[in-house]
Amino acid sequence: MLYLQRFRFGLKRLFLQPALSVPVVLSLGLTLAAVLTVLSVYYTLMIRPLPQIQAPEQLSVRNLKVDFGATSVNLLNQSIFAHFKQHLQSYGQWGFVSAVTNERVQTSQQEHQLTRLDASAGVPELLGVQLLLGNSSTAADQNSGVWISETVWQQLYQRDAEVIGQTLSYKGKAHKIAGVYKDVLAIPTSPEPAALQFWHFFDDTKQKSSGQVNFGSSGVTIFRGQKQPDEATIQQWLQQFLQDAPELSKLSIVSSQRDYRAEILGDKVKLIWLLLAVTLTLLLIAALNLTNLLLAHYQSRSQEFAVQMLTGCSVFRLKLLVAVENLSLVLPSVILGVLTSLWLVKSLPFLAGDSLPLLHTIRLDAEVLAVHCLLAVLLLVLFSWPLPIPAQLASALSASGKGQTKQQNSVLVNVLFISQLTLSTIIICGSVLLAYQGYRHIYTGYGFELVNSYMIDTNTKVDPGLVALPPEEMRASMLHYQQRNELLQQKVRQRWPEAIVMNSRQQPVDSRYTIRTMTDEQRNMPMTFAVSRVDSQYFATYGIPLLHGRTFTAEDSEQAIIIDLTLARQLSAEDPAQLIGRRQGIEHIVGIVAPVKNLSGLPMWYVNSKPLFTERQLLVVVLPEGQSLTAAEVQQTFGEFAAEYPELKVESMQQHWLNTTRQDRINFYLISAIAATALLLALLGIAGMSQQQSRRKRYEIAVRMATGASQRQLLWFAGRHSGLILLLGIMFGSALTLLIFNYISGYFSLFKVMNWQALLLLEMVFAAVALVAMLWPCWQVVRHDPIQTLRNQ
Amino acid sequence: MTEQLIPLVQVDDLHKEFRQGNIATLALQGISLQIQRGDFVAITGPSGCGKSTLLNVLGLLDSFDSGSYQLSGIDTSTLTVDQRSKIRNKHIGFVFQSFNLIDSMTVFDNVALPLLHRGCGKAEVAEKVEHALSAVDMAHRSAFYPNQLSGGQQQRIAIARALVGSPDLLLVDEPTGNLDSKNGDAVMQMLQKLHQQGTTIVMVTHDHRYSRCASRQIQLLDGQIIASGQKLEVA
Repeated sequence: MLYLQRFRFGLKRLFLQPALSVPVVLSLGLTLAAVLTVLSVYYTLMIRPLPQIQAPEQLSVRNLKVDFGATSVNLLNQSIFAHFKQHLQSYGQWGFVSAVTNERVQTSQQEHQLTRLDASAGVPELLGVQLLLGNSSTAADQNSGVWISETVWQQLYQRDAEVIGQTLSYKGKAHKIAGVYKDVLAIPTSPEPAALQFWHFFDDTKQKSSGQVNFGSSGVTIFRGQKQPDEATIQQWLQQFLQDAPELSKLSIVSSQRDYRAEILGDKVKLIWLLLAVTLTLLLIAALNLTNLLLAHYQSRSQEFAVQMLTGCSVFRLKLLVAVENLSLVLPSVILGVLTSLWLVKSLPFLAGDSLPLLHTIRLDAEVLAVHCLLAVLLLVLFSWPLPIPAQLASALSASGKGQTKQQNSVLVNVLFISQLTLSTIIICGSVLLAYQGYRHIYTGYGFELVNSYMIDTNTKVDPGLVALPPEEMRASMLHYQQRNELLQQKVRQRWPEAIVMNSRQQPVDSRYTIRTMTDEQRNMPMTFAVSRVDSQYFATYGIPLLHGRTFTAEDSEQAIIIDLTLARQLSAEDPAQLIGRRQGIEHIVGIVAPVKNLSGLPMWYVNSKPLFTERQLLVVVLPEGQSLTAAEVQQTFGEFAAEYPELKVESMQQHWLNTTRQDRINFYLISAIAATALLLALLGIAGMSQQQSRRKRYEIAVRMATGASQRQLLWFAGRHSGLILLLGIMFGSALTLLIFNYISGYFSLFKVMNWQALLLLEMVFAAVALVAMLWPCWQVVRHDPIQTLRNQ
Repeated sequence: MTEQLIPLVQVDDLHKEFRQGNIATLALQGISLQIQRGDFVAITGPSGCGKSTLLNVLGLLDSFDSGSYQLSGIDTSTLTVDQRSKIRNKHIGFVFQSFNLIDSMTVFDNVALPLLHRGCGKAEVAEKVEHALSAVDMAHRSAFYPNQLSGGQQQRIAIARALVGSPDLLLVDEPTGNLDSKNGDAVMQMLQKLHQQGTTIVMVTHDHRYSRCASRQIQLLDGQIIASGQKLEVA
């Protein structure tokens, strides 16, 4: 009965004391939501069995990477994998799989975008993926068919049992559906597969490496067995393989193996731990803050607690009663936390993008909810346990309300306050600095200007048969497409007369580039760079400064190259200008430009681009600001040729920049939100503490006021205690921030470029804001009329 | 039969000192007294003489430095905080000058507190609270909150709360201090009535009009009993 009464009282307090309940429910609910979401991520990625993967402890991944310093590229592709597997199949089962997302697929009804999984036969069986219909990939003729996933079967074929034998077309070719597998998302490919997926298998027993060796696949090599071959065996195979590919032998090839789950997670494990640490710290800050707030609340109810004890209540029972009261604060917080977390988990694919794997499989598991409930119970205990039990019941019961009531649990209050300030300083400084770095990464230092530029891509597949034509026919065909390109350019120029139309195959923010490695003959040193095909107007149009030499001219052949300053410095330690005119292989350098930021992170090598002589046509069009260009408009402009380019794509530089930086921008907003939350929690705590201290001294302040103390003296009197605690908290926080950042900079590259001066400046700014938050409640007490205050007392 | 022989309150050579920094105040200096069941004792004396301190020690709200105090034969010197609470719940009722009602609870809930802490059932609580409120003529105000009542009414509620658990000892600290004379008289009549019904009462007051209502008076000065007897005539 008494507990029910206290619970009802708690519920009433929830609505009648919003100054207490709103900060508690909001700050606790939102921080619990963050913790719950990160716990769900942690549980799904690190603990829960990988969906559809059987006995993952027997699975591992073999990585063979060609190392270019700034970047590395996968050595194994379908062809090299066949060679690899043939030599090492005695160790266990091997599989190779790569993923292509947004593959346009035609069914009998309409077009869809699916993930295509190109795999060696038997990969689903190797992983343990359940076959729902049809034959397994190992038992059928793989080349003739495709295997769809359960989601495709459900959404595109409404679980039609007769789906086997129906056709599914992509890249202009019809394939019979040979089977249905369960969806499998836990594959460490890049990009990550979606549930709408289909498998296409290649026969890895027939394909062998030929004399011409291409590498650079995004596929992964999966192994199932007791033990992978050791490094010596891999090197043996590599030496044997390189005998057939001597051009690769100069490159550095790095071999490694990793546990299957670890490969899926990659270096995201550190991110998960960091997120977990940050959210738990935020929860701790909120909990310490709220404990302090509740302590102030309990202090104002000390007479009530004394009466409870007077009438026979034990200390434990009193704490239990307060815990029941607080249930009305914690329960809504828990519910708010779960609801917000449900929303966050649903939004994770948008919020986290490709920052984390398996995002679509993350959900609030019963185990995670149990941990959430346990956290709630711990918080309930934390909020109720430090209840100030009146040591002297007599004085608590005879308190007249006048004078300065003695602060109970003052040591605890101070320790809690200093702890939360310390943690807040760490989180605020860390997140603000990260946000600043993120901002700089996204918005500055590109080395080129974002202009109103559009890439027109006819998106037609180049027919490999062209190179097999007799020379005369091939020349005629090339000439035909070259003329086509010039004709299309002409049409675009006529439609948009103010536009700059370029033969460039890239825009500066593009991800399309070729990595090339060659040996600098003068120094006999290998060098790796990204090759970009651009035309003479490219540098001026995008504002890339020409440092030495000249830009391309119409007379230049494709052997004319321009390099960036980074590459120039690699080629010549002295004056880069001396490189102008130098021959580099069959090319010769005509100019040197300033470096620009590009996705490869490699130095740039620009080749003079001529009109394309293949079916695929690429054009870059730069329009005056305010004008735009759409695929439909371009199709219309192409006139009689439009029908030949049904999949024409137009991508604006702005849009491409937005897409490229999407994840960075979301990260920036998330980090900023963490910084803002930590700041808000800290300021709430500081203001609450200061308010509690100054209210406690209100009577004394009024007496001092009445006896002629100045407002400055009163402000000092009211705020000196909080000020001292504030100073201590920020000092501890600053020292710990320096230590922690120094420690974790070894693990997170983001922290490596930490600017210590900026950190100190930030701490000073935080201290100033915190000081204002502390003085404001003091000022509210000090500025009152003394007589009014005394009368109120 | 044995219970009748043991004094309800047996205090011997009680000492209590308050210390703030280097300044020590001797609140009680060798107090010894016995209170029998059915007594109505008034403790009087000037301000700061130790009246309230003695009452607080008798009510187990405060500790003492030396001496002994037995309540119903129970030695109180070694009790824990929770044991003291339990004894207060079972044996002692308290009425304060400032009422000490909980504003967030209704009159009914305030009065019910000792019974609820005792673990009584709902029906028993309802019956006893009803009875206690009727005894102080406040049954019609059971759903009110304390701040909706006058000072006199609040004090009657405080008396009802003190009585609801049928304590052996009712400790009353300046019950009329915050009341006007009319309400003060009413409260005193109520206490007299309770005494006539057999309740043991110890009352602290500095109002001689009311101290005369008690069957026995103890006068304190500087923490010592300077006079004790039936219906003391104080100069």
